Amino acid sequence: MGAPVTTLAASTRRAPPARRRRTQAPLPPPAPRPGILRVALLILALGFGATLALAVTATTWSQIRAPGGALTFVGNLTGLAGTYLALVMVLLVSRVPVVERVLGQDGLLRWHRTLAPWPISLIVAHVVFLTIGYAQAAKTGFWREFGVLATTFPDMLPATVGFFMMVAVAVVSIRAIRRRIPRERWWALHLLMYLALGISFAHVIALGPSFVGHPLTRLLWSLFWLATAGLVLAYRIGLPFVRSMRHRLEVVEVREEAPGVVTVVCRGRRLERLAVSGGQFFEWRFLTRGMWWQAHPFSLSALPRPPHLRLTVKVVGDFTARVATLRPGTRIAIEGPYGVFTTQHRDRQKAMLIAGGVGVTAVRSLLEDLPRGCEPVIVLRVSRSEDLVFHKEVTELARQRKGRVHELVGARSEVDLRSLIDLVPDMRQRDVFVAGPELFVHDVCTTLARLGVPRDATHAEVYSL
Amino acid sequence: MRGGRHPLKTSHALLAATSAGFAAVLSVHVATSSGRNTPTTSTAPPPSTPTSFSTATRSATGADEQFGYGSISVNVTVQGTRILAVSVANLQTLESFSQSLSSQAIPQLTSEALSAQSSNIQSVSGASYTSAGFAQSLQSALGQLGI
Repeated sequence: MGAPVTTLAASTRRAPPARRRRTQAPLPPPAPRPGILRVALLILALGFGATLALAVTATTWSQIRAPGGALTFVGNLTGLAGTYLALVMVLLVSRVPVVERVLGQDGLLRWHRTLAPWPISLIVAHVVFLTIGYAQAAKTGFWREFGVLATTFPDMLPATVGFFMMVAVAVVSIRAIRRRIPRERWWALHLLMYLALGISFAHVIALGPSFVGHPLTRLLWSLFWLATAGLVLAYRIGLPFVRSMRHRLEVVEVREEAPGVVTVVCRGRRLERLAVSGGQFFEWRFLTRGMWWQAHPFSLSALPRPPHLRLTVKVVGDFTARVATLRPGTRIAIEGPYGVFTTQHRDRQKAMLIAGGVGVTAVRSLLEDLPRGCEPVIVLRVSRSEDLVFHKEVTELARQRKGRVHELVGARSEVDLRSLIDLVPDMRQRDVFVAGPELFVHDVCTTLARLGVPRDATHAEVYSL
Repeated sequence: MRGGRHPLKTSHALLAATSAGFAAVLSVHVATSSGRNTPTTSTAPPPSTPTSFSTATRSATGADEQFGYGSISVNVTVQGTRILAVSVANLQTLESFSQSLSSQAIPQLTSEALSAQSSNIQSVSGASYTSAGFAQSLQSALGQLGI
């Protein structure tokens, strides 16, 4: 009989029912491994000692006793030491994940700023002492010898240009001057340091007495430079590019959360492969006119809910004002996730979260990541009650974890932070997480220290402008 | 950086590692340079049974020795086994500073070779690379003449 056959044939010709897409469980974020960082630091220290020895073994007493010999030796020593530390500076901001997971982007930047005076001073000393030493040997004046060195010695012209670039970058990065320059311009200038280092490389192995006639030393030094360059290319450019391409984020919706605070909802592919911890942030590059050449850090205000991501931004300047006007469909490139304001950095069972103003974004996503039963206490500190963002979400999340929420509303002069100990009497047995503007975090951390909270129990996320 | 609970303080560990690296390179350098000949001496020719040399004047130019910042070859004129004259056949340097340095050192090296009557000469202070290259090239020239 034809009818059932036809029906069967027709039904097989129909499209099969769509397979139910099994959403994979999100990738757990990798745990921080401080042991690896210690080993890396020890290796770097070993290398530094070896570099100093390279300078010392490249000279002899008779060379030091010769005219200009002592200063030439000091010039060589400071040059090697300064260049080595300059490479360490580059490594600190190369965003290698293993290191970033332990210290955090802001921790690494702090170390970068702390170390900065040393390589630049050593390199300036290198130039000055070598010039004087050579001038003494050639029996000419300082500036005449400087000109001779810069123009007639092999690979010295690019090295001299690189030197002045380094000095310019260093001067511009002094805090008092950095404050007066727009952030984007300062950033572009600072990136020139890569170029300055690159063009200065050749003169070291062409002229340095540790390298001339010592092919093994030349090879090792070159490998160190290549490895550093490789890490920068891989983790500052390569990995963010791969991640942006893999996830293809784009803006879905922009809505106002509170006066001057906007939430941006993004959609992306395969977000379950993005291993993010609550409290972490990305550098966001919105690929639209006027914004594509800047990347700004914003915290996620909730854990990823594939296929959506959420970030919340306070409008404080030009860039953030533009964020509020983003059109749906705008593509986004991301770098990250970065940050150590996470549950993995807890040591104690209980936690306390203190959010100042827009700091509630990091606190809100960190809270979502805290296990139930950790009984978190959340303190929301705002100037006016209209600024209480995510109050409902925070309260609900706290309730699920048997925690509680306190609001501290009022101007800075009205609220005494020492009242925190009355709100949370067992503060000293908790991990305390503080997020917010720089001044707020500074005040709270000072108060916490005075109230007896140990330093390793305090975790801070500073929202800098 | 968190690590205060580790028994070995981070700063002490770093200092120890730096010293270890320094010591390692230093000892490698001492070990390899004591095995090699020091620049001021060159291998003395083994004492050979005196062969009769003609008293004619003979000359030879030693091998072009690379000395790091350039290369040098030395010409020697002998009569019998006696060195009559030493001169530089070819001197090439990377840059002008080494050129002037080497040029200043050469008269001293020449007179030392004449008074020592061998390539076993003192290095000129401040020009140890040039001295080493000079001595080695002179030695190679003397070797060609069988001295």
